[in-house]
Amino acid sequence: MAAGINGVASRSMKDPGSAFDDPILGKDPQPKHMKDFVQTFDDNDGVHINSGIPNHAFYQVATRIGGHAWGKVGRIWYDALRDDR
Amino acid sequence: MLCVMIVRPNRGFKRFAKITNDIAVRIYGLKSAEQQAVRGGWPAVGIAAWRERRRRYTVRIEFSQAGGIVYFPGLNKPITVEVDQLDVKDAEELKRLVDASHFFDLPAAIGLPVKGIADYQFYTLAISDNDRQHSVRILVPVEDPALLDLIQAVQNILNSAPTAIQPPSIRTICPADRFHLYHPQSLRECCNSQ
Repeated sequence: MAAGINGVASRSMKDPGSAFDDPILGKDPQPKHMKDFVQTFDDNDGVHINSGIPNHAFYQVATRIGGHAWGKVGRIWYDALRDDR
Repeated sequence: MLCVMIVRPNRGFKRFAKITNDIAVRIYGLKSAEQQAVRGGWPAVGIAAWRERRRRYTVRIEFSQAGGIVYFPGLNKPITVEVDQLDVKDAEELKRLVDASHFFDLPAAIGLPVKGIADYQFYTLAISDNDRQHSVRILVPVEDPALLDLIQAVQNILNSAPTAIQPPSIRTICPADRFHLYHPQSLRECCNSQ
């Protein structure tokens, strides 16, 4: 992430909760399963925390389909995000 | 006034998961590999957006009897009743009787014959459903009223619903003394005469 910071990225879709663990930043708070869902008023009710769960779902689907993530599952997610339901 | 917000974590994620599935179907087709991947991916993170089709509950009853004063190998063969092939009313009644008798909690053998007497008769009732199977050997006469009701119901089915029975059988048990084997016609004569 940066010199002197213990972390590899701001998020991990493969393994949410493991992206960083640093004395300054703290530990990556993202869960990757609903059983670890974080109930909180911080972070606008935890939207950037619990997004680890659907992010990991994306990873799960992408690895099941194979190929480039933006090829098929990327399109599914893009259309789903644009869906007005 | 203290207002407590209740976060509903599952609702938005579930809806989104369902939308991804719908879109996978629209783009790649129903039961496509891509749709299957979507359906497999969400449960991996604890989000079940699809109601799994419930497994059909099936019950099979195998009934046999042994003992008595004569051994007829052909008549000692077990007869199987596929409960779900019966009329709904009969099937429901049988399932109710299985529950009422607590069949799956019964010991493997009920009733001990007196030593030295060779003509005792036994019923063997084996019942299996989706998750359990149990077999009980029961000394005649049957003393447990709930179990007796179940056995009589099975006997009635054996006499009246041949399509659910494998193999087709002509044998039955006289409900009057619950002891002998007769052809159904003989049974009626037997019972009517008592």
